[in-house]
Amino acid sequence: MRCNECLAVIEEYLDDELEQEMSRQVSGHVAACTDCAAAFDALVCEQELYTSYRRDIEVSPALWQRVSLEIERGRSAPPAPPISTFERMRERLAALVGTLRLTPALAASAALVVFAVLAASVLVFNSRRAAQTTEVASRSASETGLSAAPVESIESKPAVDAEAKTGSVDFGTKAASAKAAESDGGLRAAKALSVAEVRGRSPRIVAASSRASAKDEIIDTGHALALDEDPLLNEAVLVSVAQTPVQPAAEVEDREVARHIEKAQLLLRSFKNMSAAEGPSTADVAYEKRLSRELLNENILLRRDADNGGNVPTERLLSTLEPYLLDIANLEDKPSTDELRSITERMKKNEIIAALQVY
Amino acid sequence: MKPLAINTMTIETGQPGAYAGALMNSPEELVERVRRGDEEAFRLIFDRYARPIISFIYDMVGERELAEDLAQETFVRAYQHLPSLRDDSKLSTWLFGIAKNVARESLRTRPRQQRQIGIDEEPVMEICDARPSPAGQLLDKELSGVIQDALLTLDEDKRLVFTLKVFQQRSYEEISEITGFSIGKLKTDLHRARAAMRRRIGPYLGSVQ
Repeated sequence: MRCNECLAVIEEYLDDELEQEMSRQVSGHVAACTDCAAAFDALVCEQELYTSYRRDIEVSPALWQRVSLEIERGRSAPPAPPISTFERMRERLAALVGTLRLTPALAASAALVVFAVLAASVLVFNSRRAAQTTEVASRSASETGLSAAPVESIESKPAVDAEAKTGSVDFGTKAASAKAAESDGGLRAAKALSVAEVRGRSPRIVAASSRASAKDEIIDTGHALALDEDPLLNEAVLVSVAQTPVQPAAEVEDREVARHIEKAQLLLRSFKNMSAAEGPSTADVAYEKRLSRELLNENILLRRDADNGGNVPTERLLSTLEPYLLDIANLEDKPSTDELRSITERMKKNEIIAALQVY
Repeated sequence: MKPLAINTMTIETGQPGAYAGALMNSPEELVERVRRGDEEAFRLIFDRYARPIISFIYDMVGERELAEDLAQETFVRAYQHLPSLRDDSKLSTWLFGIAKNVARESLRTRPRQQRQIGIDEEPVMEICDARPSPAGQLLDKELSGVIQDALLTLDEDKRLVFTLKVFQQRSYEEISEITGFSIGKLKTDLHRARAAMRRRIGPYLGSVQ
């Protein structure tokens, strides 16, 4: 073994991390070479120095007490409300963003990335949607006695060819219509919808079979059809895709909130009526308590969502509702008159039921 | 864990009571007992590992009170996540992994200037001057101060690797498991950390030799 080979691994030798054979070689070399032996001794010396390192710290008995107290506290704390996957992702993202310093360059890059992702998503979505609608169109055409061929004919051939074929399907656009009219010499083209018409109406594309007899057979596929190289057609399709009733996330959230508010309203009404009807000795609120707990968890999540989404009215309403749910959830199964009265009076005073109803 | 390390740590705790139990139980047994709800077993785990863990954290953050708080956090997290420990025999490595995370989280949340103490800025001599002691003790104390300051000048990765290897006597494989670093990276970091530390403690090397 040479000195440079030995010195390259001498720390690993000191750390006892070398393979047996290599370790044996280094050991033999160090025994024979004074320079390498000196280097090794220096490392040993350093190691000895580090062993004399005394830290200004001891494990105090209080530390275990603190640990056990903390564990006990964690055990007695109520379980955290279930966090949705969306919520978790948002928290992680927030944590990630929190660790980064927002510089103008970073902000610009982030905006570009977001834009690129959005654009890519729209493209992918459109292409998938188009593929689906093509399939639906052909299926629909075949179901109504028309051949599947027309789709191809429309995509690749002029309208006149398409019309020449029995059962061909034309797409409702001005362009297609005009082509058909021109080439067909007076035969009426399929009943068509212009792009503007598509915009103004429900997002349906009317496919028509324009036979030589000029008899219009309008086939409503019920879906957006697309996929032509004609830009007008594509535009029509884009419009129709845009108008397809896709439920936006906000709408879904609104519906969730509305459902939640309705449930809460029913609960508070039931609670109020029960308090008025029954005496303290007979009032059993076990059911209301359970329902209130469920609603409380839901309320917290929806309130956070509303807060994060900047929906101030909803956030305020849910914040107002929360103490009532909490109070009811924390009641005993057979609460005292005072407890019931206290809650119902606050409900009346703050007109919480009315507020829920208005929502 | 190496048997030598266990014995050393247990003896070092210096607290009477459950330590005989800690010696008798293997990590696997202790973990199993905690899983079965035996709270005393977690106390034994604490007794066995508290000292190396708090020393390790102290080396990483350089502040006593903070190290105590972080050691507490480490054991609380360990208790909460013990059921998820996959290999019971690696309890020690797992605990150090938690301690490393806790220490790093703390270092990230504190301003850099608070934790970077230059060797020349620390009033080592002031402490020595204020509390005169026999020469050997003085040297030890001064040296410990120098080592601690030198440690804090290393960057986080190097300090982590150096502490685990030199002070905690962990193998490369264990360090890799604790830190998530590749063996190559940790070798490089360790070599550089040693060189940096050598420059700092150079004047004291002669006294040992």
